[in-house]
Order: sequence, then C-alpha cells, then structure tokens
Amino acid sequence: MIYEEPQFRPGGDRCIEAYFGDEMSFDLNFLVHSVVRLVREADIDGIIELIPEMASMQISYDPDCISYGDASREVMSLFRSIGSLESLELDSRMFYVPLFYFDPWTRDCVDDYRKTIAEKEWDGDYLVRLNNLESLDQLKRVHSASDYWVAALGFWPGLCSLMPLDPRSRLIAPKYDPPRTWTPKGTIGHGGAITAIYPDRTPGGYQIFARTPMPIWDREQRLRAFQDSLALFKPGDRVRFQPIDREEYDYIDAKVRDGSYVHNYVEYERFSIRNYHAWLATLDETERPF
Amino acid sequence: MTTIQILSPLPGVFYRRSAPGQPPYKEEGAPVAVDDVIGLVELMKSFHEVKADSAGTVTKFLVDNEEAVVAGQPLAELDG
Amino acid sequence: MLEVLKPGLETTIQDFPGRLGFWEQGFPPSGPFDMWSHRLANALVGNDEHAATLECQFLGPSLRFQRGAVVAVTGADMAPKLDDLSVPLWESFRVRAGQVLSLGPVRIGARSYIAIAGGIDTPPVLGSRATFHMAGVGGMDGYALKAGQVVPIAEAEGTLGCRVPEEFRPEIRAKKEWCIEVVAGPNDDWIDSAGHEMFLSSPWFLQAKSNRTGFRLGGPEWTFSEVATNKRPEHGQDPSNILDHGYPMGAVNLCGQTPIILVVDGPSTGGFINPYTVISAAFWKLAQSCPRDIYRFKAVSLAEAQGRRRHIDAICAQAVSG
Repeated sequence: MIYEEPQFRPGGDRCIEAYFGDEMSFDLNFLVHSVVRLVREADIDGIIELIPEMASMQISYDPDCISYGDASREVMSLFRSIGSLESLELDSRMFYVPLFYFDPWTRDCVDDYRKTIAEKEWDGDYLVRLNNLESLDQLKRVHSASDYWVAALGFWPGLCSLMPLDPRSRLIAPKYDPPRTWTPKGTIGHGGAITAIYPDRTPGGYQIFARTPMPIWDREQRLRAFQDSLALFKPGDRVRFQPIDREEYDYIDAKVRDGSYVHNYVEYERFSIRNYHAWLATLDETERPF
Repeated sequence: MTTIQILSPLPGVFYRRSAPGQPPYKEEGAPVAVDDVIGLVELMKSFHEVKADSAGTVTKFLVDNEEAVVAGQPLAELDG
Repeated sequence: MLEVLKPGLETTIQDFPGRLGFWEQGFPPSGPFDMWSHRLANALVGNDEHAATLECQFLGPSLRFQRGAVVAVTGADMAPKLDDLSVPLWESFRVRAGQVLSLGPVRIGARSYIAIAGGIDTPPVLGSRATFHMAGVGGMDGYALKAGQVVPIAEAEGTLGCRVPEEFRPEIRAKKEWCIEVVAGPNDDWIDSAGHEMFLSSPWFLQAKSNRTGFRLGGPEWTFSEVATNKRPEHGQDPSNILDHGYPMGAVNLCGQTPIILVVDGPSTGGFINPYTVISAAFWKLAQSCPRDIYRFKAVSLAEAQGRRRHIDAICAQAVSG
C-alpha cells in the first residue's frame, strides 16, 4: 500500500528514513522521486543528501543546522503540498543502451560459476522457462520491448535498479544462491522483478544474459558523459535497450577504448504520470505481443 | 640450540590451516625453513600469512587454531 | 612530497567529512573512521579540520619526507619513529628533508592518523580526497598506498610544539570491552521485546571479517515482531528482509541472524532491516577496536546522541595547546 502520509524514523543522529509505503510499484517509486525533487528545490538549510529508494527515501542532515523534528516537519509539509499523484510530472533523461543478448562473456561467467561454485541451469534458458516464454529470441524481444525506469541506485556506485514501464515486459527470476564471486563489467542481470546493469566487475546475484559495451561507470571520467560524476545514471532517468550483434558490440567497444564514444541520450523529455496511466489503460496486460 | 619465538605481525584471528579440512601448515615437531608459512592471521576480511624468519623445528604452538591474537603475540616456538 | 617506502597494511588518504553529494548514486561518504583522532591530528599541525590525512590500519607505513614538514600522529599507538628515534603521539614535531617516519604493528587501538602541515594534496574526486578503495575512487589513484608512490603535500608552515592534553583525547586503551551507544531505529519495530532485550543485554564479539565497509558481529539469535513475520511478499522471505531502502552510516544491519554495523565505506542501500544505528560520537570506538573485542550496546535518546557529538566537536575545536 501507499501510506496516507510518510512515516519518519531516525537512522542515528545524522539520517532520517521516510517510508511512503510497503509495495513495489512504479506509482509509489514515482511519488518518492517527486518528494525528493520537491525537497531539493526547497533547498532547506541543513539537509545534505537525499537517497530515493523503492518505497522510501533517506535524508542526511547537519544536526547543527536543523533538528530531526524540524527536518521531518519540513519534508511532511512539502509532501502535503503535492495534492494528487496524477498531477505529478518529472524531467527524465532517456538513455539508449546497446545490448548484446546471450553474449559469450556472461556465458563464460556462468560456466565458471557452474565449475567452481554450484551447478545451475544456464540463465537465459532459466528465464525462458520461468516466464513461460517460447525461446531465447522471445526473451530478447520481451526484455527489449519496454522502456525502463531508474527506480534507485545503490549498494555499489552506479549500480541501478531498473523497472520495466511496460507491464507486458515484466519478468521474474530468483537470485543466485550462493552469489557469484564476479560478474563482467557491463553485464545485464535480472533478479526479482528488477533489471540491473553491473557498472564494474563485481560480485553479484542476478540472472545474467546480456552485456553492454557502453560504460555506465568510468573512474577516470574520460568520456564526456562522466564530466559530473563517475557514475552515469541518476534516479529518475529512463533506459531503452537496443539489441546489437557482435560486430556492433566490437565497433562500440573500440570507440569507448579510443575515447571517441558519445553516449546517446536525450534530456528534453518530461514524464507525466497521468499520461502514463492513460497509456497503461489502453493495454491488454494478459497479452504478450512481442 | 636456542628457542626462537614466531610473533604475530598483526592482531586478528590465528589459523593453523589454509582452509577447514586441510592439514595444518606445520605440525609440532616439523622442520621449518626461513619464509615457511606457519599459519594465517585473519584481519579486515583478508588472510595474512605468518612466515618464520629463522629455520628450526616447531616445538610447540602457543595459540590454538581460531584463537584471537594481538600484534607481537608469540604464536609458536622453534628450536633452532 | 612523501615517498612511500612501505605502504603498511591498508593505508589510505582520508578527509573529513568525506565525499558528500553523491550518495544517491551509491558513493558512500568514506572519510576517516575515527573522526576525532583525524581532526585532532590536523589541529596539531595547524591544518583546517578538512585537510586530508593518512589513515593507517593495524600496521603503519614507512614514509620518506622529500622536504621538511611539521607532522603529528594521533589515534592508535603504532610506536611511531623518526629514523631510529621514537616520536610521541598527540604532539606536533618537525621532520627534516630525507628523514623517514615509520609506524609499526599496532600496540594499542587499531587506526592511526598522520597529519602533515598543509595537508595531502592529491586531486579531489567528486569534491573529496577520501579514498573509497573498493571501487577505486579518490585518494592515491583510487586505492591504498603502494610502495614507490610519491604523495603530494601542500606547502604550509605548520604549528610546532602543540600537544593535545590527555583529557581531550579519545580514550584508546588496550581494553577488550567497549560500550557502544546506539539510537533505536529506523526498523526497531521489526524486533520483538525479547529481541530488544537480547540485543541490549548480550555481549557481541567483533569478527575478523570486518573492515571499513562493515563490522560483522557474533552473538545470540534475534527474534522478530509481527511486522517482520507478517509482511507483503515484496519485502523478501527472511524476517530480516525489507524492500530495498537507504542504509544510514552506523546502521546495525541485520542480515539473516548476523548483525553487521555499516561504517564509513558501507553500502548506500539494500534489502535488510536496521533495528538500531550507532551514533556518530561512538564511531571512534569502532575504529579503534580489534577482532574479538566485545561490544555492549547502550540505547540512548537522539538528544543524548547529539549532545555527545557536540561534546566531541567542541573538543576538536579547542583541544590543542601550544
């Protein structure tokens, strides 16, 4: 459910957790992002950082400037100023992410896991079976048909949680147990109902079946898209996957290496939840047309 | 013959084996050469090898497997 | 400039309050774990409290100074020496060009701070020089010091002969038992009253699997309230699972049955509950403890937590006498 009003709880003497509900839904997450935007715009003295998450946000504050009670009250009054969820709109960048499905590197990674840690069904086949799909080709069509919403980032710098905006692209998958000790940089994984892009070579637990040559993390800040941060995405961005083959993967990878790659994204779009709901109403969610 | 002590270089948890189920690096009575590993100290999610800095024979371990140690604590005695 | 002869176990450049403004993208604040000792080290040499210092963990580095400097070492006792002579902790002293400052294995405590007048002058990354070595961010090329590196230092005259009186230093002793103050929340309602009683009355031991990311504890079993056991499936299967949320610094993060205190380099978000949070004024105690040390947790009010924080801030602002 989405709570009538957020619940505030202390996280030590420098943080506040505000919980807005207890469900995994786009509407609730959009509400969280909207409150984050309002608090940022209000520029409240003493509020330092805001982390939007699935159903909550974390506020860090300077207790010499503002108290826990005052910070919570300020956020509550901004929340009350919202009115209806339907009226909310947010600027949202759209990133085009080239994706090589069923690539050799994630296959090698799964093989290594099977050899050294535990036997398991190959992740692509497992996703097809669990989600009643016909084939790997259909998995690729279904997964790449939807735009994705960057619901949150975290756990690791730049690691993004992506929600499909088209309900017909919803896929489910359990996580690895035990987790992998490594995952190739740029791997696409799916766990629960969330797709993620691994920014760097890290341990991981999502089912993996594709890889992008487009960096979403650059600790040297070489490419222009990284001039403000080492991580590409911000909460509230959107992602559209573009299936590519090996030849195009290598072409992009070479451009990334020589520093001439330019990330493809647009910054002029505004996401209206009313328009989104109207579009959803036109869909027959029981169908899978892809 | 002199008695030489091998000291822990770090605080942490002392292990006599490389992994559970493996034989100990050195049994009591075993010969030890310079730079032989005699155990591990676990600290900050890493395992650090403890090496002998002189040769001899292990007469006894002064610390049990998985016991907490402080830096500079004697771990084993050698006759050398 | 400082030449690294021996790097020590994991010596990193840190500044206070660390990397702020990028938490929403998953960058932890990082910064000095024992903020008290770090700030006093800077105060001793006449630096601003924000200047970057070296944080030495358990086994200190050996550093050759390529030019003269005013230096202070605070925090844990790693028996610092200048060439072959011992130098005192908690005092500023002069190092001449060519001399070697070396810190050894820790004798008391766990983390030492080396401040140099002018401060360490590596290029800031996302507004901070703090090292987040897990992801290779900040510090010296992203990671802990390595032998052969040369660490840049800004020029400054410094303040010689300054000292922190004993009563203004954190009480770093070879004690094995620490009282750690916590504030209840954010998810204290997920634990039942027996669980709270158990947490606050039991000794917890610090596991060796602990670093600047998290402090893993060993102790008794937790019990949960209705909130944890009767919840929507999105939260996850284990009683300790919750829909992904933010992780405050100091969170006592309950992962199944294992509490992990999330510290300076901890993850920003995740799917486990945080029934308690260690207060910022108690961080120095975590920073100065060794594996198998015992923690006893004491619940304090938010007002008391702020009072203790202000007390340390006041000490850091006025403790140095010269």
